Amino acid sequence: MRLKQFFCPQQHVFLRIAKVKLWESNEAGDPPTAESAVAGLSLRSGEKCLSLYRLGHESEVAQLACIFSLTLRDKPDHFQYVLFPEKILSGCRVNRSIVPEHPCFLSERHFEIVEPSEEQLLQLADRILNSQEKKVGKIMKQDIVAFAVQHNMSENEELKGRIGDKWRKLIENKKARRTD
Amino acid sequence: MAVTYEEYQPPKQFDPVFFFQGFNKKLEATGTIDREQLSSSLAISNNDIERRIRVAKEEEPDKKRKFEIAYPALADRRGVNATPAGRSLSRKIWMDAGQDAAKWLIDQLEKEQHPEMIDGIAETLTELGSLALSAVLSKLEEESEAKSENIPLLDALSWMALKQPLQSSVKPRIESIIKRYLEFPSIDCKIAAIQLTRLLDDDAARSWIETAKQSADSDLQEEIDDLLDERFG
Repeated sequence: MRLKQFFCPQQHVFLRIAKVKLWESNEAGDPPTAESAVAGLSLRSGEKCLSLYRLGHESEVAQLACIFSLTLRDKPDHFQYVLFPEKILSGCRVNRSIVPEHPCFLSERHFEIVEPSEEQLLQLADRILNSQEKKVGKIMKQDIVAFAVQHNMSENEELKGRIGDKWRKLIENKKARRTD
Repeated sequence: MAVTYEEYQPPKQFDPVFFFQGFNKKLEATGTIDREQLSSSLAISNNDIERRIRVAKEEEPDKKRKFEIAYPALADRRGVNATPAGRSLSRKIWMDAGQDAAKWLIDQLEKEQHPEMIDGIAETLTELGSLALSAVLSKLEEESEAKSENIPLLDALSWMALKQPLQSSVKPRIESIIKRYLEFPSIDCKIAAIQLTRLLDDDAARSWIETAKQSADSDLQEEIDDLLDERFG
């Protein structure tokens, strides 16, 4: 087993927060194109790097979705993402980028593609779309709330001061219904 | 023949507060001001009016400039914007500007393409709450048909409910928007419409959700279940 790990190092997966509909066929059944999907990889005005999260395993998605949503989104919403294997990024300049002011779980997993050109982003969108291993997902708002209740995140020392009022209210409602 | 005398009207005193408020409103609405009328009714010199027009016109671009500077921070989640309290502080400029900020942000929404910026605008309109309610409703009522570009506005409206109760006159306007967006073929419009039921009381919300259920595909059903779970457990 050890030998196998040595010769086949762990393949991480990368997650980009992006709307599901960019990566799936539209209502008319037309498949997505790189030209439209690249909107999910576009940089904001003044932004220099493309934010990604590197996960050791797909099972970390729920925790990432929950911590990200609760602490960095003021208006509760579903968490939508595209997940793809590390090899898709070959040829890109990818750096670990710790964000000390974010919760550790997010900061430790935060990576950036440094100053990607528009052409690079288009190629990346194309590679993700054509990858058989990509996974597009949406975690519903109430599942995020349920996860937070289950793991008592509103009482977590690191997180409790960072959870927005609207999320906190949903968590409290959920807890109250569980105890009824 | 009896003589009728007009009721005595004291001469109008110059009230600088009233003058400035009315003056700025008129200037905002029309871009012009009737100088002669102002001069005669308020007994102030043309030079004074000229000076005040200059000041008001100078303030307008200054406000826009402030909005433009503050705008990128709407989607920023680093530094001071990493916590809800920090983001609230960053939004102070929008809260202070009130309705002007709401109108400016709604205009930006028409041009903005970046999903995080669009979310940031919607979040700020939600925070503006009653200050943005009228501008958002008016924008949604401008078109007779639903438009998917307006979904962030419905989204912003949906969460305003948590801040304050609605006036009764607003409810029919909300229901009219829900109806229009539920009838539109796009699934995203239908989803936005059922989210808007968050603004309504339990009975009205249930009624619209039942209506939506009748034509719900799996995506809409998933949203309905999520909303029912959130609201009714």
